[in-house]
Amino acid sequence: MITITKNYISKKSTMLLLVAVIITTLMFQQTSIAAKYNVFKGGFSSGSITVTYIDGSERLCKSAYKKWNKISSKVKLTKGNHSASRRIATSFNKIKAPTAGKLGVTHLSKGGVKVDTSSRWDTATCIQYVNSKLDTHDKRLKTCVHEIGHALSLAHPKRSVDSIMNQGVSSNNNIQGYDKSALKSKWGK
Amino acid sequence: MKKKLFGYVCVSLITIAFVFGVFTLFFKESKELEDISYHADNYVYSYEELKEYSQIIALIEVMDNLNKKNSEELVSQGYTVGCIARRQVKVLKYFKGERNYGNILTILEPASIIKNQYIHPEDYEKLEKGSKHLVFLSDDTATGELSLMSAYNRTFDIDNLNDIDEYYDLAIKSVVEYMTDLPVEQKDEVISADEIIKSNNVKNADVQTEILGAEHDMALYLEINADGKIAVQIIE
Repeated sequence: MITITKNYISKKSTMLLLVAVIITTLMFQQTSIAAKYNVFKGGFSSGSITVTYIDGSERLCKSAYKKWNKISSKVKLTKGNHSASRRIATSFNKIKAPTAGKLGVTHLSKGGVKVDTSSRWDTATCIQYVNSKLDTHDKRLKTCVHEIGHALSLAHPKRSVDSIMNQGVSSNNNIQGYDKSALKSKWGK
Repeated sequence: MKKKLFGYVCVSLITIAFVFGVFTLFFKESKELEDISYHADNYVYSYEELKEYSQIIALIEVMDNLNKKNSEELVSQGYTVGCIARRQVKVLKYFKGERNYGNILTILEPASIIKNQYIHPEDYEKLEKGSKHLVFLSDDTATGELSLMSAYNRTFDIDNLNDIDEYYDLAIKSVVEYMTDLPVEQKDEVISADEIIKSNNVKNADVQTEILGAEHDMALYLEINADGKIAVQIIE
């Protein structure tokens, strides 16, 4: 009887220990994923987002947002209007940079009030400025894709890696492996 | 007599209320500012490009504080498309562009205070009144006004060089070129260096020099390695 009880306790303890180890490992994995990819703490409440354009190039807007579809099943960008509850509003290649060297910017807001990257937002305004450094379609498109990446909670990478989220001018406007993984780490596969 | 006393009391109360009101307003504005940082994409200039594309390279002193009055929000169809401020600076020394501009300049910085929110790009700190900076300015802007180039650390706070992490190489190259008395050959060696590393322990300094125009006495120690790398230590 004593032996049976001992065995039972021993099995129960082993099981508990195993569960604890699994939970700890998963937690560590999540932490390391978050640390591996530089993403904002905040973001849209859902990945189902409407894209609308304020002014500027509709072609750039369409080409840029479509690149972010079909990476994560949780992120779907569709064309819509200004009244959508979750929207990315774009102004691509229309406004000249207010300060020298600025290529693009993304402002975030909720209910018309600006919020920072750790908050929840319902509107992201993505701008690609007219800048002499962006002298080809490919370079302009890179900045547009980059800004929409910010709207989807992707930050500038903190380490040296091939990424559309790196700052600066580039003719390569393709979303890289790092960017896909970062998007999935934020939104899910 | 009573009327006079009443008058004194009234004047005193009004003065106290006024001072209290001004203090409250000032304190409220500075205390309740919400920090809103945003991400922007900037052109990454090399040191040579900074020199080439800037209209002005100068040592400046900031004359005002960032506030609601000198801030502007650029809006298109109800959406914010830019946040800037016009700041007054005094040029202490020109290194480029002296002929075309005066000693007091209005420059654009990519930060603003709007509706009790301090809005700025990530990692960008607003210019503080009284601080001295080595700046690269360009008028390649929407309004043709002078602005800091690329925002991120294209302004070097010369009294806090040790606090600079990003683009440290650009800071050191510009300080060595414009704010030291080193011979041209040694300046060229630093400017053309492949890598400049921040160090806390330069044991065998090949070059030692003062940083001119800094608020405090500051010395620059450089250890030039054979592989083109330069280790730098700044000591106050």
